[in-house]
Amino acid sequence: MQRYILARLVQALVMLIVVSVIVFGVARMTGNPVDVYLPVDVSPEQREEEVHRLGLDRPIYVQYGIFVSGLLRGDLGESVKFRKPVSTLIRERLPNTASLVLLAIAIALVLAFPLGIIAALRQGGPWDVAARVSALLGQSVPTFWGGIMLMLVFAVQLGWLPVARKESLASYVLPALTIALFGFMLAGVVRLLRTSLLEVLDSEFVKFARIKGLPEYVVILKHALRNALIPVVTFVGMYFGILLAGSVTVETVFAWPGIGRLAYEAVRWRDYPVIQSVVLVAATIIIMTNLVVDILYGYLDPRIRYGRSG
Amino acid sequence: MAESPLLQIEDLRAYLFTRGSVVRAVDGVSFSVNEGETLGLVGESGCGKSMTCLAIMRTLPAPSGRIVAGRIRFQGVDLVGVSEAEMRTYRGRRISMILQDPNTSLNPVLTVGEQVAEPMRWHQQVQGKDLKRRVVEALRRVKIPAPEMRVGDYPHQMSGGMRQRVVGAAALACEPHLLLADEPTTALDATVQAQYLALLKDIQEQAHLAIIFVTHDFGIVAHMCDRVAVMYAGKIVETAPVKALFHHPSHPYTVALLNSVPKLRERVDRLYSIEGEPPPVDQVIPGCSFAPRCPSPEERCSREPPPTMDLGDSHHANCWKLA
Repeated sequence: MQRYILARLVQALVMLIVVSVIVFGVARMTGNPVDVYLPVDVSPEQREEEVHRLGLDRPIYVQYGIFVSGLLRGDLGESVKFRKPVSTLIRERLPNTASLVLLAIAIALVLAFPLGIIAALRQGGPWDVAARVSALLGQSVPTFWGGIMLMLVFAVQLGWLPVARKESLASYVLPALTIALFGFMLAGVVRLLRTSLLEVLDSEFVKFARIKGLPEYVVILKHALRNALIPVVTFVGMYFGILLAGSVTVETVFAWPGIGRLAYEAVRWRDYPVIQSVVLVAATIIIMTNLVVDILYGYLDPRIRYGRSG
Repeated sequence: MAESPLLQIEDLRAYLFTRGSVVRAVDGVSFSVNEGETLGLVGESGCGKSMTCLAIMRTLPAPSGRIVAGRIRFQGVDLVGVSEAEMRTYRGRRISMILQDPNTSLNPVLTVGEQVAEPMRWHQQVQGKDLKRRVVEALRRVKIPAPEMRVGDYPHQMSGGMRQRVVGAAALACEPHLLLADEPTTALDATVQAQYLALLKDIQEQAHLAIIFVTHDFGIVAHMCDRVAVMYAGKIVETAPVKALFHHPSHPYTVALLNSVPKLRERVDRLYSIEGEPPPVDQVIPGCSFAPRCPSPEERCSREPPPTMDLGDSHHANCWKLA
């Protein structure tokens, strides 16, 4: 297991290097940041000076070298737009995104588990149909539209909750619900859990557990559910990483001061240092969550823990 | 011989209701099993042997499987009528079952110790150290070497034979009176198979256990069983003490089955097999369901169901030609 984790870490490092090169290059293809914020009637000399101040007049490989050497010293550079160190920006924004996403996942799981289990146990019944239809809706309604609709009803019309921004705990409710309901999370878990539980419920060991005279809830919660959980854990883990890295839409709709909104602003302002750092942080988060998911498998399935396929 | 049988099944019908069709998997089966006795239930795949067992356990596949008629009298109680909660006090405690494939009948994510412990915990409220001791005992009973060392193992760390022993240990943990063994050795190697059968026989003698042994292997029948019931297309066509069945098979299906067992001392160019196939499972046949494959059917065979003929010495067969 340790060797495996070590190998995965090396792999992760290689991936981060590749990601850094790509994002570094792609960001620079979008144009020069000075053109976004300097007035249109600026003189060529002043523009030149600003470009020089940002170090953008040097060859691209030198720029990359400066970026990487800064990275190794823990210095992510300074934001062009906010005139602040990027590391400070990320430290301010990431907790806002993390708390929002964790809450969204908690909501999604609390709703999805009973729905998925009931759908599987009452296959073809009204609960199953309800669960599947709501999963389909959650999957097909675009996040931004769903978010705007929630905002319209609960914030604008009913006035129960704040419209946008992070001002109080109540501000969490609408964006978290949007991610949970329309961000694929609830729908994905319900569908995966249902399918995988149906398969497990059909297995011989579930039959044998019943033959042993165990109560039905033990058969389902202890024997079936744990076996059915593996695909669900994969999905939640991967999606957790993706959401952390990029709830861009929801954060933009709700003006949420998170990392996704930061990424959006950085792209609009061609804020190279911020774009690069946010993408790298996102890539790191995704790689780490995938690693955690892999380790979690081992706890769920002893066949993986002991390195044999059984 | 006035003792009443441990299990008496009367006209049991268990159907599978699927979209648009009804499979009469168990279609009017009657037989009985005495205490400590082994009844062989033989027949080809799909004839309803396993479904009969699942019907007795009342664990037919839900929601399609249902017992539609008949009685399952066990120790004087008709199991068809009891509540699900009461049925659970029978399952794994008074009646137990071993499934065919040890590779799939154990839960891959739970230790074997835990899986053997469950019936004792739920039925007999054994806990803690006592439970641990009982689990080791149960594993020792099925002759698992160094059972103290194996309780924490997961199924994939054991061989097929060992797994089937664990299944046996779990099924017999609460010392049931009746064990339904659904082809428990089919998935095992020949040598492991022999050991397992010897083990079952040992336990049976110690515990005065009655066994319904589902198989299609006449070698096992001869070795293990006291009496045999031959099943065809959801019905029992012949029941007899094991010797009588081998010496005087009476139903044409039994005869054909016995003929298809290859014999060591005879050289043949071609192994015997029964012509044709069993009738489609969702078809209702007015007469004898074996008539289309019978070597010498009579005209009434396909019209009216054959009567049960008493051939003496508790030998019965359902065939017009014996009438």
